[in-house]
Amino acid sequence: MRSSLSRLFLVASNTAGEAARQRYFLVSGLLAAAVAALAVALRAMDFGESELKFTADLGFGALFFFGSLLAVVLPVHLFFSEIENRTALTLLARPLRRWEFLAGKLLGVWGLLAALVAALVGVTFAMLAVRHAELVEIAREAGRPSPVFNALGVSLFLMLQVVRLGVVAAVTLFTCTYARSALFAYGAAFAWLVAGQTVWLAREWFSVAQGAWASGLSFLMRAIPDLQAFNLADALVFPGKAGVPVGAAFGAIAYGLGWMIVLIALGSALFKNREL
Amino acid sequence: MYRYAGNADDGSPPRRAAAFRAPVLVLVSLVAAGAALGPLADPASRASRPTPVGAGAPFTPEVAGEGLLAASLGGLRTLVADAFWLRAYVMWERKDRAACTVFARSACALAPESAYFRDGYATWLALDFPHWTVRERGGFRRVPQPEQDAIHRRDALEALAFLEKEMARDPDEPRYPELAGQIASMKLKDRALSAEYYRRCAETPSTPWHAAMHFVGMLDSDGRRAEAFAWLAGHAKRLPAGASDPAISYGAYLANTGQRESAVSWLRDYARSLPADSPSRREALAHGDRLASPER
Repeated sequence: MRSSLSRLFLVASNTAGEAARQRYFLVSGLLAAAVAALAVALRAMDFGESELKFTADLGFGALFFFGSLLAVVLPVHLFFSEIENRTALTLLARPLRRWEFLAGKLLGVWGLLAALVAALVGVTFAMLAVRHAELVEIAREAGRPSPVFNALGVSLFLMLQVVRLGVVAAVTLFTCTYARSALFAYGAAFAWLVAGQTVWLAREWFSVAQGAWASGLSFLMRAIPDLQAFNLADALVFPGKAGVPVGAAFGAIAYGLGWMIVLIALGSALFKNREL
Repeated sequence: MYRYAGNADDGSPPRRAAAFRAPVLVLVSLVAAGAALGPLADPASRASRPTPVGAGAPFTPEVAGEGLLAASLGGLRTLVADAFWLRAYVMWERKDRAACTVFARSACALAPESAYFRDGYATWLALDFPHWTVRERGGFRRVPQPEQDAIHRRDALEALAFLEKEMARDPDEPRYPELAGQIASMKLKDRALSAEYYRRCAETPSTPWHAAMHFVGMLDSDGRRAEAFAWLAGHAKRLPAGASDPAISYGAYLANTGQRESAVSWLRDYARSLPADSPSRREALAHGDRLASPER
């Protein structure tokens, strides 16, 4: 068990190091931070929304877009470079099980994505906190109610996004285990991503439509991880009278972690029989 | 038992069965995992939906499209919606109805939770677009009045239909019935319809103070004073503590617009409709007496 953990750690740390050296990772991270910081310049454009919500939307939107992109690109690139460069053969000739290889890859990519999420949420939180203090002062002078945002909600949102990107990375690695080319893996992983974002709509439609076939299809749709469950930014950061939905957030975190384990287990089963 | 042992590429029945079995097993495992884990995420999935689907609103292709856009763009949709709205403004300045409609409707689709874009689009549709159409057809001096009236009426009805859909989606938003009340009154000259919209606006949780005043004012000028008092009795229970009484505000409005006698009569009748110990009764009587006094 201990040696298995140390092998996992070795694969994960090597994966994280290799991923961090990729130029596109740095470029994407910087671009995402730039988009989040754009809120300062663009806050006059907050039509119909509160200024704080606009700032949060921009920061979290950048995280959503660039985070999802990296959670697909990094695993496919790193997995297929190991296969194509034949380093996977060398690694797996040693006492390293295939599930350890796959789980190590996931942990390495996930760790790096978690750092990206923490940095971007940190930037957005700092901007929210600074502007919130200014707006509270303006509202006090004008005798208006102060705008509110919830710091606990931001930290819960951070955890949710870390888990969400973990699920996307796990789905991508699962795709890699059966894909024969990197191009196919990219396509299939992006298809999984779009399906995961929109599966709630399909399930909603099936629940409105009557009949056993609709119920059956709605049940089958459970096979796609529902990524919309992690988009709780508004409810967490700007909670209404109902308060921060802490229970729902932790439910989604447990759901995401469960899916990561299932996807890596299934991916390992597929990868076990794959000829390299 | 005899078992056929072919090589990997021979396409023999056992190999084909094995090749078929693996994806089926994976699919079954995914469905089983999803069914076991799904209930954990259901509360979060419901709480995070960007459209009111599932909260009683009808599931239309339009709503599905909005949900698809919102789910695909995440938070960035706010920025994209704002950019579309700016572009709609540029088209509005050029009086280009088609382009303005496309950009404004796109902004609405990208921000399903924002009443601002919908309110703005319905205002343009009812109040600005018909003038542009008349201008395109030669201007208000050349286009016959019946044709102009038909254009105004058609656009006002379209705006009301749009607002009705939004009211069905978000019944707690006061801006839609308020604007619908204005359109019904100004463009359709339909006082009964306008009063109905103001009533709906006044019954939303965050109603502006003047909606109830407009409603009872319309009932009063249509000779339906008793109906107005009956509604005010129910409305008083919904008002937060310290909120101004819309009946007294209406009395002040009548007085300020030179209708002093009507104001006095309204306030005294209103006071009579209230219980003896009601603070609003005392206030209405005091206002009525002050307006009736010859020193004023």
